[in-house]
Amino acid sequence: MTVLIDLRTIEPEGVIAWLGALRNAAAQGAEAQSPLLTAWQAARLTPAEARQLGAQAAVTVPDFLHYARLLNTGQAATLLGLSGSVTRVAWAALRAALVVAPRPHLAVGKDFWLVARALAAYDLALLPRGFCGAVMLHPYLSDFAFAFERRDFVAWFLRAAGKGRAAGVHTQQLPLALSCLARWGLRPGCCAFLCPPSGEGVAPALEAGRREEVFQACRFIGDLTSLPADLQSAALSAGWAEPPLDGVLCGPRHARARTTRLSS
Amino acid sequence: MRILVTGASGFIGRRICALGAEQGHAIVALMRPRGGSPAMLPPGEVVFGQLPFDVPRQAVENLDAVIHCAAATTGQDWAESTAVTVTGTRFLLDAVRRWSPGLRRFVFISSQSAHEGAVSAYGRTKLEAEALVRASGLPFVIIRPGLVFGPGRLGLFYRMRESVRRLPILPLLGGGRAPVQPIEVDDLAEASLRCLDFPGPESAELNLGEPEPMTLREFLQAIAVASMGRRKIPIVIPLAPVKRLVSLAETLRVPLPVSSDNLRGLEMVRPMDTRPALERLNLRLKPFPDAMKAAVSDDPPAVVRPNRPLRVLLIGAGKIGIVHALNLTRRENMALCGIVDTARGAIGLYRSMGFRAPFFADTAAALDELRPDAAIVATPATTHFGLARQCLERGVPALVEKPMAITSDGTQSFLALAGDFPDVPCHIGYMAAQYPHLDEVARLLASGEFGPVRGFRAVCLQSHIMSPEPVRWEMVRAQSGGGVIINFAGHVVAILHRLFGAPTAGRARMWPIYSKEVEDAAEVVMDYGAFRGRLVASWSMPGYARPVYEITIEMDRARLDVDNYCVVLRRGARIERVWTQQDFAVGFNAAPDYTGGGFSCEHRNFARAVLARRDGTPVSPSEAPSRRPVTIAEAAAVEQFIFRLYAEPEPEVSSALWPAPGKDTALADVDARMDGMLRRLAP
Repeated sequence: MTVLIDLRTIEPEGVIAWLGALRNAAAQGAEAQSPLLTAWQAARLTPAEARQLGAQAAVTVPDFLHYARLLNTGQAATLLGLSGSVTRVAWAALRAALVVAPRPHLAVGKDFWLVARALAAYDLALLPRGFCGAVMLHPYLSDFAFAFERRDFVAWFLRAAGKGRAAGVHTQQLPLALSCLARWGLRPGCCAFLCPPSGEGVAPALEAGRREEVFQACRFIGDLTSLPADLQSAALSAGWAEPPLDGVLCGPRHARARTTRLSS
Repeated sequence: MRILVTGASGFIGRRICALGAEQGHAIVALMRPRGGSPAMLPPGEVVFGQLPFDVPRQAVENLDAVIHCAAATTGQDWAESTAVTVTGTRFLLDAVRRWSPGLRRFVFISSQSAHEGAVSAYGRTKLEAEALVRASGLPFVIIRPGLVFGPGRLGLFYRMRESVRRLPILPLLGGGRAPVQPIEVDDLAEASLRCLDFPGPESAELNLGEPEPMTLREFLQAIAVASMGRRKIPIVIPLAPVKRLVSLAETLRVPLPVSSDNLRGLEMVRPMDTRPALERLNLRLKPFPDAMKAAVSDDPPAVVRPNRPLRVLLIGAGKIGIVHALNLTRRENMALCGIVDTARGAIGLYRSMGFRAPFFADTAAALDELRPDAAIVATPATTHFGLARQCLERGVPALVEKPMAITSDGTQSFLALAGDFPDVPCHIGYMAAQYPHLDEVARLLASGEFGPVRGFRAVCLQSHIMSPEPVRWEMVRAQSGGGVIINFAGHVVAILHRLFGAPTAGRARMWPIYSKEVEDAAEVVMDYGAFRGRLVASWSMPGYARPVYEITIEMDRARLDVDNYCVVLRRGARIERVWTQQDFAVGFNAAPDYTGGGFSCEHRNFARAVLARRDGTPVSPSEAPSRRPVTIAEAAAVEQFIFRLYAEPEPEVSSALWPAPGKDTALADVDARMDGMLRRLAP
């Protein structure tokens, strides 16, 4: 079972240390754990470092809340500086502009879905060459797209993100997400979802979904990060029995690796 | 009988719900959310869901019977047809086997198109679904109706009727020779309900329709005569080129009155022997000419107990407004009927997201033109009183966002307003106090099972005000009434009020970090006589992109940890029980890991109060936090407490103010953590 460690709240300068610690822990025989990163965190890696993360690692794009907060509080410069490379930011901004350019009338009206595409395109362009982990759409955007039946948006994202990688969604509405994806004939490579210990509200959909052909290549990751730390630990040490999962997503406290930043 | 009807908003399902309700059955109407449209809903208990997998448990629990009408009906989209009709049927069968062990009958509305020679997605998938029903082990009836016709603006018949009306001639695809065995929609609904009376577990497959087939040409001319009083000139059109054109239009997603499936179905349709089924059901079909005369009406027959969702006006199209609007589009008994905001940008954003409702720049105009059943006020707090008054004066119940007021005088004005309009519900948006998982906390505290409360600790943290510039509205006292306590920690204060009542006294120290006029951090002590509690709040704490509320309640023999998502009951180091928001059926929950369940319950409580007033149905009082709205009086108590803290801030809040917990208690650990937070938040 994949164990993903959610490092998305780690400050930029701490990410490299964390990734090193995860690698070292694995080298010392601990159960392998992979990071869940934001695109701007991944952008700080060299192609070789990105490749080393392996296919089990993942990113969630775009870093919706963080970007919104920075933009709302007038910190656009901080946003651009997150990824640590002017060239990469310029390239990403160009990719975002290319998404917007064919639809100038929508851009002028700040069309929500166009802005969402532009942000996702920006983040996808930040990903370093060599990154072969999964790329998932942020839950707020996924769930909005499902609620508003935006097949076009989700299909575009899975196409754009899935070049040589598993592309999927992060969601808090698993039954709705699976219904939409199945109806739309879209095949995600991974699906992370908010998973209660009781399985209530998600287990039947998950069990039935796994039997369907469209989800045969999909890795289902239970997001446990909202549970108290000791519950996440218990889930990790006992193994997650029901509903059956391909992996779990836990907070950084549960990394086998430790860094001084964390322990402080 | 408690009967689940799937596809309940469709042409057939809607009439089954109506007829079933008339016959005294308890109908559970499962349908897809209708995007906030205020259109009438089928009678019965409406549950929103979406096949194949999104079927809430409440829809499939304790059923006596299922009438399964839901299917993908248009286009050649095999993925959609397979997912909805085949996978959806499989999921539904599994669900009712699990949650309704006493199920007496599963009625599947199949189709005349479902046969081995079927080529269309519709016919093939219906055929596959039939096989699943047969293999389910449940007592079943499969009904294969012919062409279903009836009044209203839904279904294939409506599209055919409109084509006949609009076109000057009668185009007859392939000569119109295909056999048609029509059945009026209410006859089909009646037949479906009669199947529920079949004795014993014996299953059956029934073909239903006129025993003597007519040609499609005769059927279309009957429509023309019924709707216009005359026959139309028929023109024979070869099928092959039309099929190509329709297929092209579907590829280009151009809407047409007929689909490729319809055309393929025409070619493949075979006459059925319907006499045995009609005899078995003892069903006499309505005479065709009479039924057709009634069927060309746009208005479906009146429903005995109409189910009209509340039309809700949203005032304020900001960030919180989006959450309200999204909820309104997914809630069974509410619908978004209009949005008010003066900012054109906000309107554009909402439109582009997908909210379909008329926009207004002026509240009075919207209230007068739309005459909504209720309003949600999600504007800056300084405008709350004026807007609430406008609503209540017109008899429109209001749900007003928190904080209700930004001064103590403001809360008094609201109390007076409640006195002026005692019969018009006005709730205040302290949604966290209505979290579903708080019900378990309240239950455990009330039971006394683990002894009396010894104290609590609470933290509210967020990385929101992280620099002096730009100066946001929250940082301006005249607009916000204060800082982090009233505008952020107010939710936790409201939760604590709900759990423990109003404190007898409170003290707070508060300090700015980036703001000039308001506090960015605070430490509050709350005295309840028998115990005290401590609250640390800041919206300037690094590392909290997502807001966090946490409350630890220590009782003699156990401890409760409460946060946005869950409640954990611990005894010593052992976890006894965990409840998360996902464990509670609250309808649509936009963000179960955060405030989603609070909004769900808040809307549910508001709708219940408004419906009670509209329909004269009493609301049974409940002590459960999730089922009690926050009234003006309760919000006033919360806010008056906060304003008293603002009036007499303490320079220092010493730990001597609360009984120091023994070193072995859980609260000692939390205190140590809180002290660490306070060091990071030092002025």
